[in-house]
Amino acid sequence: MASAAATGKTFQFKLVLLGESAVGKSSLVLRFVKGQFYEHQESTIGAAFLTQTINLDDMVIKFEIWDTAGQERFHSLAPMYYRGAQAAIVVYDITNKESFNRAKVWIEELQKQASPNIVIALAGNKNDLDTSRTTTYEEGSAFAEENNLLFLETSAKTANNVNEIFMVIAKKLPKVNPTTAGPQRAQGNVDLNPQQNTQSSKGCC
Amino acid sequence: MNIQPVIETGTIRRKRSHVIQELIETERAYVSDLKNIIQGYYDQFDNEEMVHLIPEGMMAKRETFFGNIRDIYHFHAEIFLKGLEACDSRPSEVGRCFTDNKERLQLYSEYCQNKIQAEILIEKFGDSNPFFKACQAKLNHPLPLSSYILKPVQRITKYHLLLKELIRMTTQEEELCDLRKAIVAIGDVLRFVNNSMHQLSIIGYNGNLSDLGRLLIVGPLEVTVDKRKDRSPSLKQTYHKRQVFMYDRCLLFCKRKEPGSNNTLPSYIFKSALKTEEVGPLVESPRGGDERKFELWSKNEVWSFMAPSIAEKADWVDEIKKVLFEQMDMMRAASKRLHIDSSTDGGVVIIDPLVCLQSNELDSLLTVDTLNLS
Repeated sequence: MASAAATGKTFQFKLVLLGESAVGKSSLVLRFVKGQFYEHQESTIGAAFLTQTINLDDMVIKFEIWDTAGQERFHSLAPMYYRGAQAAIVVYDITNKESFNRAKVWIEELQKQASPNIVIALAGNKNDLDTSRTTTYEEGSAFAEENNLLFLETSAKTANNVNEIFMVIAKKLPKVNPTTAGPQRAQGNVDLNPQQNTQSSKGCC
Repeated sequence: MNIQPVIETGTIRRKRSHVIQELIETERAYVSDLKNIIQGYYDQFDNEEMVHLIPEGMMAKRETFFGNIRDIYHFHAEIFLKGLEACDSRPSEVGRCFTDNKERLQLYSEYCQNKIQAEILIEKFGDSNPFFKACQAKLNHPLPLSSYILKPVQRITKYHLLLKELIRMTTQEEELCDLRKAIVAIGDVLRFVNNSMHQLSIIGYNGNLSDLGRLLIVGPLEVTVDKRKDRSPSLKQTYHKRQVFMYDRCLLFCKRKEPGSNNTLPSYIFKSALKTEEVGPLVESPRGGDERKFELWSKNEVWSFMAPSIAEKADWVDEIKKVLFEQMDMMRAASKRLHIDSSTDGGVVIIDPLVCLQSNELDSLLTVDTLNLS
């Protein structure tokens, strides 16, 4: 970690979570940043945005994560969240078919309207509930493949594949010069203070 | 939203008080965030020590960066937070805090409409121009202004989640009733905000949108229109994808145009209009069709619609019914009563618009149509 901070660059990316209500968007974020976050997670709405850094090879990747919970039915507000995002996780619940259909619509919208370089991951969440599943792994995987998306089934409850999905996104994100990175107001390649360049979360902003 | 731990660990009363605490504490934090944005950015435009850092042309755009955030701040700091804080000792008042302030919460419509302009400006001047960078450093904010000006959008969309949670934890009937009204009120506010955003992008409509009354509902529908006299159930209908804006006095049908490479919002090219006063009966469940379909009959035409989902169809049907009922009230007031009348004109039937027919009720009428056509 220290060597990464000493030799590697820090890249900052804005990531947005989209998906139907109650598919576990907030839970995935909380799982990803948990440990460095408050233990009593009895909150309904959580933080407006969270940051979390991960180390990848000799680089430090800092995610600025936007949870969109609450705006699902108010569609014209969504672009305010995903404009300028370099990455998106579209989440569905493997036990709720309608949420999978909704995820497809989100992906179509992102592909049309978000930054052309946006990295999109599809997350089939709640894979701990395998016995109640209504969307097979193959369906999710095939859709992701057709649309050139990253894909993992996750469980915020058991932590299965949660860190991994952020990691595969981190790997795929283009690490380029900040002036040309991603969309218009990309914040990529921001050098943080050395003491922040460790695997840690900044928590609630 | 996964809140199972709450259910497992405490009594209903404790959980309830926890949700109210969360509502109050996050409101305090929100008010403090708004104050920071205003003092840390907006007011700094007047700070003589900072003025030299402001990029050329930016000073003139100051109001556009922030929209009506100061009005929002004053409302939350002086009225809403105080109201919610009082609920700490009188939890039964939470619902009324929302219903009493429904009109004021519509401040968010202006904020969200302006925010599109603000985003364009931030892209133009950059989040990390020397002035904003200095403001951010003084505030010790980990993220730039563009993140913070999204906070009002996030906040207004979170209240209904907290209210839903509170409803789950409430057993007292009167309080439940107030909370349900609060959810409806905040839902109306959000719908209003949502709807008002879309109409910004209508292109090619020559009239004045403000003459059309309130914007009631907006959304994508597949639409086809037939002359009533040509209508035959067996006729294959071609549906067009339209973004439909329904106002008190008119429905506007627009073709959605995807945004170009500049990452802006889509635009809506005006195609046609249907005055609500010309709309006759609403057919909620047309024959032989998809459950997402519904029809509106005018004097000479049948407008058939297909919503993307059954839930969205229900939203449309609700709004159309409201308009028809309001029209009916107005007509009654004007003592212009329409009668059910089996006309001889090609089987055209003029029906009291108050009557929202179900398919089975309509069967006999359609049969008349079909017979006349054949």
